[in-house]
Amino acid sequence: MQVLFVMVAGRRFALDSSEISEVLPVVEHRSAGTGPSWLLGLINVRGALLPLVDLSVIVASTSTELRLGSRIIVLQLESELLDFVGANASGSKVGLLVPEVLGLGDRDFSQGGAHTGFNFAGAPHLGPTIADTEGFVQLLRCRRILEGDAALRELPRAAQ
Amino acid sequence: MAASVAFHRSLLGRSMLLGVLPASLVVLLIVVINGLRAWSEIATTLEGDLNAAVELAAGEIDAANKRSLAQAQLMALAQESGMFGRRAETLMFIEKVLRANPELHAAYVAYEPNGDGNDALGAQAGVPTVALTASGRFYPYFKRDPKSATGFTLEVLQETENAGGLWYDFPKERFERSGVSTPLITKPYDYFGQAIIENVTPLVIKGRFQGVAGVDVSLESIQARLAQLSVQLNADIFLDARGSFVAATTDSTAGTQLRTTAVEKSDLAEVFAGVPKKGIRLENSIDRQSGAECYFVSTMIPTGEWRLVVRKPTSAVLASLSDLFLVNLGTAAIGIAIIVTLLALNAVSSGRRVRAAQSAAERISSGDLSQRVAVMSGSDESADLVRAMARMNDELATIVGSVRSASVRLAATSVELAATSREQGATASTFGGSTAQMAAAIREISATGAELLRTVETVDAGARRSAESATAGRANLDRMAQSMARLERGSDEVSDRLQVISEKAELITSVVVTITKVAEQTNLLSVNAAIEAEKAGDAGLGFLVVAREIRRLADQTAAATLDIERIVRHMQEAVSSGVGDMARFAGEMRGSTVGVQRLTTSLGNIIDEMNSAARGFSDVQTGMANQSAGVTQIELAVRQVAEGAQQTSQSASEFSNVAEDLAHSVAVLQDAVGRFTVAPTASEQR
Repeated sequence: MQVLFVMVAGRRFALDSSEISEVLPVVEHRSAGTGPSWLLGLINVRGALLPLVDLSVIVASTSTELRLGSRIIVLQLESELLDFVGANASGSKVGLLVPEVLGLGDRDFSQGGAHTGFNFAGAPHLGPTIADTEGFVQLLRCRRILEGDAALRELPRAAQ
Repeated sequence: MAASVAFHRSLLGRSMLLGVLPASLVVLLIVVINGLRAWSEIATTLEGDLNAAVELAAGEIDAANKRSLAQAQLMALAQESGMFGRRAETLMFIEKVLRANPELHAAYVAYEPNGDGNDALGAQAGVPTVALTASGRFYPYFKRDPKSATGFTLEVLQETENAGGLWYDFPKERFERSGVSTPLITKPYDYFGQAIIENVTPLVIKGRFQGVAGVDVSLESIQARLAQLSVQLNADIFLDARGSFVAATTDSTAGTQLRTTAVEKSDLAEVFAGVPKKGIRLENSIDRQSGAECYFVSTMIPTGEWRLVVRKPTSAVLASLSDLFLVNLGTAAIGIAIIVTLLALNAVSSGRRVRAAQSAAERISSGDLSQRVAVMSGSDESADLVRAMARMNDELATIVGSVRSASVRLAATSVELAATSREQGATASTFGGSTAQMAAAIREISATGAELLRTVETVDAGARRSAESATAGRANLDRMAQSMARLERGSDEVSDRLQVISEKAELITSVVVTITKVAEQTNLLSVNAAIEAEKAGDAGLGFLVVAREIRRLADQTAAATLDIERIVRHMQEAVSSGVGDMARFAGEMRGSTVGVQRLTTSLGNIIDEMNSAARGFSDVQTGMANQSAGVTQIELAVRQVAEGAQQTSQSASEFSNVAEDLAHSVAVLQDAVGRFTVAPTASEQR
């Protein structure tokens, strides 16, 4: 399948391109002011306001350091639980801030040599890992990033 | 399938027409020629045989007649030689003659009434009454009688109705008319139940007719002899004894009927009429009795003037000939039948193979390669032909299959290529616009640099002239001071120009930043395009290729802008160094100008300073030259980028045309290959 390679905290991840709506350059966002540390605020995407989530916080517990290759990936969240991120005209679309987008490629994560991934209950967004010529790469189920412990533990009790 | 070939044009028909027909004609001709030759030879031979047989039969009958007649003459001679009148001796002589000739039926002597003058004597010793008539006339008749003890019976001669003076009056009249004693043979007649022929000779004593002597021959004995001959010759024999028939035929009823018919009234009248006086006549005519064609061979028997006819059916004569002819014909027919059968077998098997080859060729020409050609047994050319057709069919099927699968792949590729090249052309056009903007800015820089260089050259010339003036004479100090002031103004101008260059360089940097941003945006756009293409599934495959090409172009643009950035940086460094030198020179100039008023004596120093100034100008000039070279390099690079974009656009357009041509050609190829149907190959079946 076609995947988008991203680099987060020195680790390479792959996102299924069919789950991605579009990739945007980093734009200004309005800060949320409060809430979990991974929720950065709102961004304006051609008139639609979407929540902006910092992927580094969820994957590596560090905030993203912006650089030239930093991008915002717009995608549709799968979870219905996460009302608190706010409704908008695009349904449950969110922007995902990633430190660096490496590029597109074709990889097969169901191949013989793949590792199924450390299937912890608390990390449903982490998929299988394979090794290619550029090293290890793990599939990131980006639609489920807010279902893991890393995201949930900072939510208010009511939301949980 | 082929229209059926007319028989006379088919292989079988040709074999028959060209082989069997001439052979049959030749064989038939040989048989007919041989038959005709055999016919004439055998007919001649048979006719000769018939002639010989008739001659033989006629000779035998003639000889018998002569012998009988000779006995009659013998008895007549004995009478004429003194036995006349001696009745007892005459009776003994008659009996002895009859005994000596077993073929005779009877023998007799008849005297004229009282011819010997002894009639009155009547019966006496040796002369019984039965030998005499009532008047005593000597009239004895000895005949064979099986009932009698001696085997012979003596009786008196009697005239019979049908004899009618045949044996006595007739020879007597003949003698008296001609005066010559002629023996004669009577026609057959019935004498008391016995059919006989008489051989009579007149008795002439002293020139006078005195009676007759004769012998009787039984007609049955002649009949028996003829019957023997008839069997030997395998033919019917007819004997005309003075107007009466004696016939020996294979048909007994016909023989009986003929014997009661007068010759002149019978069916054979014409034949007998044509019998020659001498020699043998052979004729071939239709027999009135049987209606069949027969040979008639006839001749005259001199003694007795009898006529003999032998009849033999032509069919019997020629039976052997027709048998021979039939055997020849049968052999020829069997030979021809064998030839016909062998030729037909060969032609049928060859024809079958040729027809198989023909149907295979027609199927291939109509494009159907799906069936294999059945290979036939056999070793002749037609079997080779069928095998060659089978090989050709297989090879064609393989080739067409390969071409077809290749054309399908080609079609897909050509469509993809056309789409890609169109997209690439559009991108290249956009990129061409950006480079045009860049080229305009660079031209401006270039113009500014050239202007600056001219100014510096002016300053340099002034400085040189000043130095020359200083060297020429210290008296010219005022002029030098003015020159110094001009120099100062010139240096200020240089500083201003350098400032302008620096500003323009800043402008280039900002353009480069814009290009970098555009490239980055393009890159991002290509990523999103690829994502969208993926979502479109198979339909987006071409678009995916386009997105990748755009990304590659964006990367190339980014690389080009990095180069431009580096070159501009070099240029700015050169300008900075020029500005520094200029400032230092200006300071020195200011110091020199003050010193001119105060230290007029220090002209030598001033001259030194002038020399130093000239060196400074040299440095500035070098810097300016460097800058100019840098600008030229930039211009070159931008022109290359623009040319590259132009070429890319043209190539894309040409490529698009070529791809469409390719698609069209592939369609034509597929159409051509589509005419052929091919049995599914092993790989397709899987």
